[in-house]
Amino acid sequence: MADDGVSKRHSKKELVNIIAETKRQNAYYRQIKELNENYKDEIQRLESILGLPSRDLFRYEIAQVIQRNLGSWWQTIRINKGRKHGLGLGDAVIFVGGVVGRVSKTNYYTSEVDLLSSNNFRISAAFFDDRRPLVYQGAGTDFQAKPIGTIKNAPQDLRTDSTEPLKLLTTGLGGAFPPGIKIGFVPWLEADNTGLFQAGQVSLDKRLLGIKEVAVLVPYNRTKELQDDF
Amino acid sequence: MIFDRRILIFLATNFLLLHLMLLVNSGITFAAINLFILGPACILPALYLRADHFFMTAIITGLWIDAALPSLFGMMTVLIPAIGTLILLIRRRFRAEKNFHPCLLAHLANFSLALAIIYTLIIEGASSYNLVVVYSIELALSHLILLFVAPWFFNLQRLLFSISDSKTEPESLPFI
Repeated sequence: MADDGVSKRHSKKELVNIIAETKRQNAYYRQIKELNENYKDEIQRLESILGLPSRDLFRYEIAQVIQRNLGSWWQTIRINKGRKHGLGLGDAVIFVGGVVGRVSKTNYYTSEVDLLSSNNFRISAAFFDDRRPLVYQGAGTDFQAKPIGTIKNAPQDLRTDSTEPLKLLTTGLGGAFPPGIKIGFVPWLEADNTGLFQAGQVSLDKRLLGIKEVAVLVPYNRTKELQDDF
Repeated sequence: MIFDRRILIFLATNFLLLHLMLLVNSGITFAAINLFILGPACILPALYLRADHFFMTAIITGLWIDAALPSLFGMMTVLIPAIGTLILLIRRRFRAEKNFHPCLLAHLANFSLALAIIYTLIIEGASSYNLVVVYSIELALSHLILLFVAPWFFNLQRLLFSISDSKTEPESLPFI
């Protein structure tokens, strides 16, 4: 007995009908695609008219600190989340006291984080109620074992003192950190070597040294950086 | 190649030393001090084992340390066998059954490893020569701790040899 599948034949007319039906479906889906694009534009327009808050750009991945390497040699911590959980290089790490640092190395199950006080950590920052950006860089720990950082390019009209230090926040420039996350306090400022701007030291949260739990900000739409082949 | 049971003992004790060091470093972050006491890891394997067995132990230990520390990857995998090989080549001059020579070697090895790490940190730009005083204080403190840790560590390794019925004398050393 011959196999049904092999013996089955389609007539020319049937094939023509199938092709016509496929063409109709193709046209229908194209129309839906155009409609979707129109809806997307309409949503954006309405959101801008109503002034709705923007959607979440990041999801929070909570991680435990499993190793701390703090001292003059290293300023890093290791956390128990890695590539498996969607973490990538440069992702922002925060905790209840503000910025913790940036993911510097990812393994499958663990990641290494450069702390805010690390010399490798540099970020754009701004003072509270002042939108002019300046440069923050980590500077290790001082002789009392407090984590510190430095700022450069601060405008000359700013004044601060140790009783009411200025609060330093992230600006959101660069993309990894959303704006408004606390970095630390600046108790004093002095003219830098150019004389055009001010520089100063930043006191960071002391809880940074004994940190146990952090949140990694994993972007929803991670853009892959183009690799330079040259 | 006959498998030497002491390789497992050396690996286990080296991992124990590394784990304890990381545990202590994680616990004393309030002082922002980083202790480095991994010098003893490459001493007794070089003094006790055959060259091929020592090499195997040193490579695995180096890889394990490289995976755990944030230093340049591969540095310990190269340095621990290198320091161990130097010791192995002149091991007839050392009395491995007592603690004096191994402790002295442990301090020298620890100092060399620490210097290499500090040098790579400065080369990478993660640190600067301004911190030399701080490095010196941390290193001096590490060696102070090592004065107590190294004899305990070597005694533990020898105790595990006798418990596991392994050879308690070094290979190819005519002591008598």
